[in-house]
Amino acid sequence: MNEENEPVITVENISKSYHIRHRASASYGTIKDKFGNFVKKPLFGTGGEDSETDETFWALKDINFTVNKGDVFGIVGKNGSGKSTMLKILSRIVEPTTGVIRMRGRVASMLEVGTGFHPELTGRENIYFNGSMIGMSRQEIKAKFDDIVAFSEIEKFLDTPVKFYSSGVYVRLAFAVAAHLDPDILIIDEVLAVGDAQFQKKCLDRILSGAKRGQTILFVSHSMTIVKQVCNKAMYLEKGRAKYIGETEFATEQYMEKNMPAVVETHFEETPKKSVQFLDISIMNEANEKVEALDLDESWQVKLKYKVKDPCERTIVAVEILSNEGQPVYMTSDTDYHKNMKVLEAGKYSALIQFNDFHLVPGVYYLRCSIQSPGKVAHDVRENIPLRIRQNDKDVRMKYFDKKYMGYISDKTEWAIERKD
Amino acid sequence: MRSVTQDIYIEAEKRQSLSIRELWLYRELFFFFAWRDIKVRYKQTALGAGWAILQPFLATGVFTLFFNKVAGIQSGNVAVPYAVFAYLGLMYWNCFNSSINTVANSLVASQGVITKIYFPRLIPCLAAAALSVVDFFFASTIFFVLMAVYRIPPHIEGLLYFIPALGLLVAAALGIGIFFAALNVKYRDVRSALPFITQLLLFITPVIYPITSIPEQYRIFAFLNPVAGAISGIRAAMFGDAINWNGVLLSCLSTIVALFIGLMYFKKTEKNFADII
Repeated sequence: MNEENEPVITVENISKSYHIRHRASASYGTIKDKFGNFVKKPLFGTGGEDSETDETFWALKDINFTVNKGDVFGIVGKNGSGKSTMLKILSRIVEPTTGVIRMRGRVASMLEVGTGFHPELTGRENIYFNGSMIGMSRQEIKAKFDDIVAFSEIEKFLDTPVKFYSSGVYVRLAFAVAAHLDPDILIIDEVLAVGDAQFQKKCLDRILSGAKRGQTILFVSHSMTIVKQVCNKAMYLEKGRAKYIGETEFATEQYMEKNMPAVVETHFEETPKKSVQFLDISIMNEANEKVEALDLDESWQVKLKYKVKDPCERTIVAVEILSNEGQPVYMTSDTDYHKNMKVLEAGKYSALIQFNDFHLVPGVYYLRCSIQSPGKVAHDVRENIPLRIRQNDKDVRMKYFDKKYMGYISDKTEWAIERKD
Repeated sequence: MRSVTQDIYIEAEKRQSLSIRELWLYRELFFFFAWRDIKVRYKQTALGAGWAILQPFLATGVFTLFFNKVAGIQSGNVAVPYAVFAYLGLMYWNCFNSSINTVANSLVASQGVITKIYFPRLIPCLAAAALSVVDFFFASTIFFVLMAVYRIPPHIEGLLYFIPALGLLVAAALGIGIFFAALNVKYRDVRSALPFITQLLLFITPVIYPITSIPEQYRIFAFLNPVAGAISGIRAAMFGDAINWNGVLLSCLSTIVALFIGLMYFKKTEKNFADII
């Protein structure tokens, strides 16, 4: 077995159960509540665990996986699917109910940005305390102190108590400390969901460079984009069970498929108050069926129906495509067709927008449709109409580039390559 | 990084806890915890460490006025004014009292980190006790000033017993404190009940009256209270009276029992702290 493929983390049959007490409302009781149990059982007994109102809830059930050296392993799933519990077990914060885990090397976890930061302490003091908290020695912090400060870009505020920091500055400092921890295994939970885009990128780069140096990373995030970007392996959890372990693209695909937003009504009731309004917005596949998911590289179209009560000068009907994270991907409008703004006469309209040569990479997108006149409030806007592009494991791109798609556009280009010598 | 590279093995129901080796590995974190607590305690206060001195000083004034002047309680040694006698007792008592209460609240106060990071859960408890010890040393400076003002020469035995008495007291406070800290994780009643209990305890402990005012035949029972052994021991040693060694020994025994019970209960419940805190 060569070293690269040797598992550094082996998780076997890990389960975690919690007892839910139906009567008790708070997570901690008062002695009055438990006095009965206390009298019945000696103080050292496992008080009240088998009382009749208890229900066993499996936060995790029979989880098995291995992570190799240098892997960036993603864990995805909805809230309450057991992701955080898994990380807490790996971090030794909570004890599993069954199972065994072996981890080779030094482990550090970052389940929260700025764990142990104290508002009264200055930035400098918090670097030391937080560094020690997450597992650095005093000497190590001292040696890396300047790097940490430089990475965080907060020199100015170093001797100010962190309670006066803005949340952005606070996060920078906290992440800077964590980023300089160089363990063999790094466990990260969702921490990148903070800070501005530029700083997030810096953090991501830092994580990826760690992995290139042979660091093994376990990563939990709700952002499928980031998971796809950084992870080379992933696990999809659903209700405490591992539904899929393997390629990141498929794990995130499963997540998106199972967690599509509830079917959105795309047929709208007429409201007499609006002078211009959408009546219906449909996404159609190649076979002219109304759908919410399309195959990769399938032709598709959007059908808009709208009604104009009072004539309207200078209008634009537009369709925008937004990524799952809300980034604009594409926009088209009727001015593409008319070349200038049109007067809308009263009546009912139907518009068919053909996306024959416009394809998106697999993932979830949202449509935003609007009818507006320049300089005025939009007449009508319909947002969050979901559109999903399915994964295709036969796609040639799934073989290369770590099985990742770049960006949003799937269209293929022509390559003319000749040998000239 | 925490010293040597070590592989981590997690198995259900087999958590290693209270390992001395692990506590040693995390010794730096202990210092950082203690350092943080001390810093935070005196940040944004005008008097800073002055509070550690002012508290026993003012208490001594009040007790001298009411117990000595009004109620007529004496120090039990004609050469020692009541104020000096009371200050010495209160200085130790305050350390005991604040140790128990800060230790008992230390886990709940650290709940944010307990649910996010692994470290031996005993660390915040030990650091909380360290904080009270630091306060004790601040307060003790005034004791020696008082001795000088009243021209009482300290006995050499007093200086020798000064630290061991503190050790006895802190060990007892830790034993009781960690028991309540663990209990506090589950039952927040501790937070309200404990200060009240320790307040009552002051009156059944020979702090503001000499142990000799307890009738001879019952006196030995008073030493079941570890604070009695520490305080009456240091007083006898400091002021040149005979030390009741049997009593001190009994106090040591009850301290060991308290520590043992505290540690056992802590060990028993430690693994569930993050789940229920």
